Amino acid sequence: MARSVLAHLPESLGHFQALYAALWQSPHLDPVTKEIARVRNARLTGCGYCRNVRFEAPRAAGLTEATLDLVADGYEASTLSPRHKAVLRFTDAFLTDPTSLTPTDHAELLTQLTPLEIIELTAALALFMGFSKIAVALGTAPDDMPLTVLPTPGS
Amino acid sequence: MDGGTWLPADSAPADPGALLALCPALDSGLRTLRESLEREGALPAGLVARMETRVAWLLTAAGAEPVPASALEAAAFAYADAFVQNPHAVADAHVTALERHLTVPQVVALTELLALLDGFTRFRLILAAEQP
Repeated sequence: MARSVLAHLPESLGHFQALYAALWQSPHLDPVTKEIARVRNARLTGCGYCRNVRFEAPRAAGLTEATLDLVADGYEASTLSPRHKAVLRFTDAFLTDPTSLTPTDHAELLTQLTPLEIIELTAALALFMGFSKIAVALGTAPDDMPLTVLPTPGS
Repeated sequence: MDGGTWLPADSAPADPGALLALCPALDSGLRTLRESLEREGALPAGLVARMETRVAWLLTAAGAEPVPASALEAAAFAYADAFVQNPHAVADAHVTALERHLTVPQVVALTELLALLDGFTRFRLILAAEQP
């Protein structure tokens, strides 16, 4: 991801990779849910690289391309689980207007995720979005590329 | 964002910005990355704080709009505005304007710091009990 640009700051690139590995190895939120949030971010942010990369751990845990195809506009009417629909609603709010959630939204999300899962999800979204935007803004993300499965960071 | 968080009190510190401390590896990794970017990027003094103010204003529209105090700040604010609102709107002209004042590694550092400021300002906002 934007490696050639980030390599202008080699020490910081190493720290970014360590942080991204810590995120994927952090135990609170399962890798399937992280991947669903990451792919939703990739679609809304419009990062071609992020949209076409997959990590091994979520696939090993059973996440299929058929499920990821549901992570699109109209997901509310899909067969995704209530938990993953709640994650997508939270992701959309994070990306579009993080001040828009109501107490009803908070209560609903807490029926699907624990507080620690929510904190880890929110940190994941901050990193997914931020570094997708870097790839887009600095022109390092291809508009399209083949689906590419990569080792899970930190594995 | 002084009203705490909507997450249950037994798991949450009063400041939503401090919630990441409940995931120590992430909290530590984020601090290390930010410190590294500021050190390795060697950006002009005060610029990161001004960018933080600009990003918070972009995401909340609370308070008076931060006004650029120099040509560098004007270029940096224009870049931040595009980055936060629609990164596809970042144009060569934005980067060229920055490169009149900054080296290429400094532009990269500024961009990575913007990504963190954007992401973790949203983190605080979406987990806050009360909105500004």
